[in-house]
Amino acid sequence: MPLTSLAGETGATLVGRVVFRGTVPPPEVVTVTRDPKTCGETRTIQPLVVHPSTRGIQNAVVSIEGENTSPNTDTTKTTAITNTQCAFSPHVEAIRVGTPLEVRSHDPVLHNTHIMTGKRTFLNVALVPGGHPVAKVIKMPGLYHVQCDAHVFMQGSVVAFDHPYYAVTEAQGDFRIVGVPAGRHQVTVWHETLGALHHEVTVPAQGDVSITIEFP
Amino acid sequence: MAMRRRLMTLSATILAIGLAATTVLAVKPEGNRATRENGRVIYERSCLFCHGAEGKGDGPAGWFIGRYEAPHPRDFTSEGFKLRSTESGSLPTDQDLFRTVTRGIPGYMPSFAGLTETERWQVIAYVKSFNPAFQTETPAPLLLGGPAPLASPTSIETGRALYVRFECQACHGIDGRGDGPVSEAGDLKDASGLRIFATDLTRPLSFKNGSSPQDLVRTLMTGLDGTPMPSYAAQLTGKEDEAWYLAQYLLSLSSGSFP
Amino acid sequence: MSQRSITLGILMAVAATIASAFVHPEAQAIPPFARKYNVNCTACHTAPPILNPFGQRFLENGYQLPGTEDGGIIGKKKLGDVTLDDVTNFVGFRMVGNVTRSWSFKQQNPPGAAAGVVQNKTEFTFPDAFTMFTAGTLTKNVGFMVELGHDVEGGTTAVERGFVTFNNIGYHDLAHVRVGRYDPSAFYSYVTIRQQLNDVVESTTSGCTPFTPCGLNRAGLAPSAFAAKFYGLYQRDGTAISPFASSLFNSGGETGVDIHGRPFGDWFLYQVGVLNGANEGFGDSNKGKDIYAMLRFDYAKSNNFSANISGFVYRGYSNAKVQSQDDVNWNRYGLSARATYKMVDIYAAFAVDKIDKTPTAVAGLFDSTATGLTIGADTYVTNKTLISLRYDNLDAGGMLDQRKSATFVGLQVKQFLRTNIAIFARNDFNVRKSEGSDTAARNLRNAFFSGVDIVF
Ligand code: HEC
Ligand code: HEC
Repeated sequence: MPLTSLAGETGATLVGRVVFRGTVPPPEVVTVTRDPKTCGETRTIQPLVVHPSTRGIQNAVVSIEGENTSPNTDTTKTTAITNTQCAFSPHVEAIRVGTPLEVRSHDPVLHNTHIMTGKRTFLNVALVPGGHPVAKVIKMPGLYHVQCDAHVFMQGSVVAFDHPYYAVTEAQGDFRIVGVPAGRHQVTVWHETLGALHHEVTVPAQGDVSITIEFP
Repeated sequence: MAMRRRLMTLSATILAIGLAATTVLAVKPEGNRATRENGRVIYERSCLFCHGAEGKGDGPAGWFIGRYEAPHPRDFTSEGFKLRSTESGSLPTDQDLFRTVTRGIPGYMPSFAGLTETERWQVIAYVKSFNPAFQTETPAPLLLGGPAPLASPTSIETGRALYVRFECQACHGIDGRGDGPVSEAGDLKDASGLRIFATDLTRPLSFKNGSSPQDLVRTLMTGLDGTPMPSYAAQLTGKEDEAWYLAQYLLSLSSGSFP
Repeated sequence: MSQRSITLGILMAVAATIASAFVHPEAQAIPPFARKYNVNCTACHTAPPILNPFGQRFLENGYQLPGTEDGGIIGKKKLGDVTLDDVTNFVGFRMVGNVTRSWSFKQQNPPGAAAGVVQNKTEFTFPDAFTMFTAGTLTKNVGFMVELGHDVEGGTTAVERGFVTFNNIGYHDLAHVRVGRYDPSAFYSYVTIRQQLNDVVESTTSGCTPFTPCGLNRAGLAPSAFAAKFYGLYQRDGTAISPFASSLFNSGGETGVDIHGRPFGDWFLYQVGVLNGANEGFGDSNKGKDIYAMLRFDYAKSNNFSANISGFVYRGYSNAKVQSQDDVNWNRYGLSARATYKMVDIYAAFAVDKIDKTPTAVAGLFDSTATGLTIGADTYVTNKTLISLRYDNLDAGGMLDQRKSATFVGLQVKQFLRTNIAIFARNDFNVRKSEGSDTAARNLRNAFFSGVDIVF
């Protein structure tokens, strides 16, 4: 599905795909010892999701080093992470600094959503069945690691930016970033197991730029 | 056995009263350069061996504290804090730090009540200078409910039901002995990736955050950052009584009988 | 290894495990200071009884937390309502039990056997050593320590150490004074009484008479750097001084006055002291006092690393006799160093002992210089398993016809069942050969120990 740029926006639109040419390591299968009714008897952990035909990588975070960093002024938007069937949905989330991050659970078991930046806790809250969701505004850009201590196989990530030029790749590896100012930019791709990759791109004043970024 | 337990609770209560007395505060010096400089001198005599010259928790005696397991001395430069009155993820207030230095941390850090109150404030000012976040963030204490209701068999029974509903037993075990399946499996890790175990709740004297009902309510509301122990604030805000009941139940685990 | 000693070893391990199972976690006892400050042993010890840098500063400050003068505050509220429970908070016990199996090259004339017959021995002692100690502070800047040792085999109880400290005289860390019977080497980089591999006393022939050499059936196993090192030295009353016993600056307890401090900041520690005199019966004031001085340099800042080096001079005055001759001055010059990094703790000590002048009667028969080198290392391989290694080389001095140098390597594995109960297995190997002669110090080929170490 080709992505179309939004008309009327200022700046150009950067579209592209992140692909993986190597061999995908086999997934890890873990036996669930807690709450198998909700979580299943076993879990298949595959952080590197590659689309079979496009070779696109899902859940990579693409961003452009922002020149005009700006805090978010629109505080009505909330980004949410939902605990569902003992997994974080979405598994990888990108967020603008200044936006509240909400964590909630749909499962009938206890989860604790434990989010860290480096060694510092951002949030560690218990989500009991039928309990309240919890929201907290993200104030610092960077990588946030999400885990549930009650179910060790539950892992996720949030990447926070102090500018609006970022996107998370979809199932086929596609992404789209709108309103990119003209000029040469450094595009950064981050994936939880593959790490970070940089790519130079020159953006015209108006129109689309299409790129393909390859791992490794 | 019951006799010994009663004695322990009694001494816990005495301890709590003793500590309450020490938190009457002297005039807190201004957080200026001179205060920090005085604090540095105290830090280098008293804290450096565990917390390290640069506050990274890597002092020459630090590794031996937990060895291959949690905890190692706090890394003031990058870690969060366990013992707070503030919401999960926030820095502690100055009062929180003062309480930690005064009481110490059972098992791991001795009480520095032997420093004068002024000296304690000075060393705190210095400790805060290790992390620039103390300049930009303004930690605010959570409101920890109204007056404590009296404990009764029913309140303790309600507390027990909450303990089960909140699935504390996942980590702490159904009898509170710290032997819940998640902890027993050895899966729990602290912020430095060191193995950590859920606290044995039948030993209140080992509680780092204190073991008075007020202390326990604070622990439940704030969680212990850097450990798996989560904040239950979202579940307990507006239901202060439930927090008290849960605390009363936790204390009943060690007293062996209803008070 | 004989079937019997294996069985005994297993029995001891089982006994320790059962004993530990009966200890309720609440009552999981930890010695006085840990109880007083409500912290684990690891706050002050790398591996008890060895201190980490924080524990060393606590000791230097007269049992007050470094940087504080908390002697009048902490733990004091408990004295208000003294109960038996509370008293036990301030007393500690240490108990070490052993099964020993020793293999000899040759046994000197074992009774009922022809000369030169090899005889191996198993000994079972429980408890081998039993000490009871209490220590604390009386008030701000005044501390005390009393340690009673009970020698189970000998059936005697004695005050091993007992002293009072006066701290922070003048200003903070300028001078701390100890008066009484103390361990002079307490602040040295390698402290005589803090060892992972406990001293094993040599076995002597019975019925030794004054001023005659006492025959050795089996060598002692103790750090060579601290040992007396000389053959043919006697106390002034004629009691033979064992070449393996610790003495002078490195004796476990001497009566005197000692001053230490860090007036030049954190880098240097000085120590000076006067002792009633090594090898001297109490009240025997017929001789001068012994004096010593120690200087220690410390580096301990960050990166989980610490290092220190220290040197001392010990001047003895008429502190021994060579055979039945005149009093001699027995001096010691020592150097030691230690470094710790994470789980590894390495230390070494070297000492040169000199007798200042050889009595003319034994001229040419007596070597007046002896040296000892000890190198040790401890490392935790898991949170509960400690491995210790020690190398000892004793270049003995003294009467040339008696003296025998010795080199031993010891290896010990200690498993902590609880923080205060450990079982251990240890073996010491003689690195030197028997040399064919019937010299007792060379008699021991190797010795195996297994036992339990309990502190509560
Ligand atoms: C014997 C070692 C030791 C000494 C000395 C020591 N600490 Fe600590 N400290 C620790 C350990 C270990 C921890 C972490 C305990 C834990 O995480 O459970 C800690 C944690 C802390 C914390 C963080 C508590 C929290 O909320 O997470 C503060 C603040 C602190 N220490 C201050 C000090 C100050 C100030 C001094 C000197 C006056 C000092 N410490 C001396 C071992 C020590
Ligand atoms: C995901 C696991 C987990 C869950 C769920 C959990 N805890 Fe904990 N808790 C811990 C761990 C781990 C510690 C130890 C933290 C430390 O030693 O620093 C702890 C510590 C504590 C402490 C001691 C705090 C102190 O001062 O030292 C109390 C009290 C406590 N928990 C109560 C509870 C109660 C009540 C619940 C349920 C409402 C609960 N916990 C749920 C993991 C958990």
